[in-house]
Amino acid sequence: MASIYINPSRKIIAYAIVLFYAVITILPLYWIFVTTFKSPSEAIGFPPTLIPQQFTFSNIIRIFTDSRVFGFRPFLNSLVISLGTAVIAVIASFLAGYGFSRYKFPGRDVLLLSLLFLNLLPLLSIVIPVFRLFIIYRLYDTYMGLALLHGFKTAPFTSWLMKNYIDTLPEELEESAMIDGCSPFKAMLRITAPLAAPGLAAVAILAFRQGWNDFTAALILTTSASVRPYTIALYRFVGEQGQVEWTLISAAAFISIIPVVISFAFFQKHFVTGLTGGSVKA
Amino acid sequence: MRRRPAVGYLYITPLVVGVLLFSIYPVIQVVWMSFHEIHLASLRQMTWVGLQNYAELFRIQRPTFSSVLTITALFVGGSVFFHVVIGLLLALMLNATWLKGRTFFRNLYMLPWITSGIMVGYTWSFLFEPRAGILNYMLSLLSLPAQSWTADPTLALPSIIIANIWRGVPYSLIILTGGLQSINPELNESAIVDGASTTQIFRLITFPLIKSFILLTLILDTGLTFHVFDTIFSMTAGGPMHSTETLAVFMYYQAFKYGKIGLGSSISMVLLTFALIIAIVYMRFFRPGRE
Repeated sequence: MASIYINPSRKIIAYAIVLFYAVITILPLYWIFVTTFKSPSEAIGFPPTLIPQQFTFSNIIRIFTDSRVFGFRPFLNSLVISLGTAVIAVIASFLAGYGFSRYKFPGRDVLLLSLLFLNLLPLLSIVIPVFRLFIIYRLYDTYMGLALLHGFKTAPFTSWLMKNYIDTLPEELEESAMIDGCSPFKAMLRITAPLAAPGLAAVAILAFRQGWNDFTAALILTTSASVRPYTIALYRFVGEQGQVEWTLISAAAFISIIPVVISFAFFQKHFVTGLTGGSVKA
Repeated sequence: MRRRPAVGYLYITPLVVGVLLFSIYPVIQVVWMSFHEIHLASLRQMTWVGLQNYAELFRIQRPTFSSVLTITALFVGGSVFFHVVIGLLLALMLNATWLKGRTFFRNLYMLPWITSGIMVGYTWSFLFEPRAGILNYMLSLLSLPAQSWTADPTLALPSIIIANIWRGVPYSLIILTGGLQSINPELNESAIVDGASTTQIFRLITFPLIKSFILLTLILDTGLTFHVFDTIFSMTAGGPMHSTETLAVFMYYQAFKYGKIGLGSSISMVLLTFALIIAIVYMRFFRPGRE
């Protein structure tokens, strides 16, 4: 490639813009992070401190142990709902992705296209009828209800993702297994599923995030402390207080972003593709 | 590719059944429910009222339907405009091969998008907090008067738009980066050899080639921003004095605070119709399923 001369002042401007927006991105998150380790008086003190003066873990400990504040339960509830969402999405989209990739049947192309169409259907626009149906069919205020709703909200797109992934896997391996006496279903489970593992991991993470970050559906579809996720617990905690305790809110927020940031770090590439609904290949 | 339709259908059955029950059936229900009067306390009871729910939308005072629509349009317009402008600027900067740490910055910029909307809401509530928030502290350093931000009826809408801009820039950045990466770098090089300036390259090569990606960002981001609920609800809950009550928040209050499930369904229909238009435009122009 021909080396291109770029005016140094242009380079400085580019670096300045990139760094400036990096600061804008990180500052609010940094603020939550440091407040997590501050004492309540320091957190609202003036002038604000960039680094905790009296470093403390008491906010995090209070979040997990003091059930009047928050307790461990909401995080456990979120975990169950998100894992349930992931299991449903993984099973449904692996099977559907396999079917779409390996079989030809009437209506296949229309169905594939409608998956992307369904992906653009906002959950918010159907949450009222879902609320009514959940009450009537006893799915209201259950783990199962939320996991099914989020699982099948994620599944259309992740099925499409899986179909594209399985398309890249060689069909010959399955065929030779079948010649050796394996049934087609066994060939899928034993040969294709292990090869599709990275794709399935991406599906699981996207689905997990859908359940973990959800606030709207849980606000409308849960009521009891034994089911409601941390997002609702946080919302209620803020609402019940006269004086807002920013240290505790920050601690809860900080804890809640850890799982998604970790999964992002591990599965960055698939995550990015998934976050745009597959409109671009990252 | 195997040609045994029956087996193919078997594999997609779980997905199809799940989607029919948890997406399609609710869509049919919401259409049906919007023509009925239904109360929160007696959900099984539905009284046919024809178009009365839709008529009532225009009769509601505090907030009026037109103010809700205006606020929604401002929220969506303000958010999407800055998402695209900032996202495009950053994508162009990160596309320069000489820039060091491109992957690092790109990943860093993603953080607001992977966190939850309610977390974004509380984070920014803290920053906007009149006494303890750092935004007022920064203003005081510049000897500017402190503001009450989300508690001020004129500043509340800009405040939630700022928080939402912060949240959504990564989304447009990813799509536009994908667009820029699809451009053949030899095009730029030969233009430089021919003596084109950076501005000329952008105007004559880059922009025409990523125009469709900008359009794609506009369409998808508008669709997403239209039903943002969690960030707004956790920051202002639609207030003060309904100044941040978008369609999403309005729907929630009518259905679950005032218990008018039928009326809420008619507001859902507005959201649904809009999503449908977005989806049709998306399918018409981009057709990602076609390879």
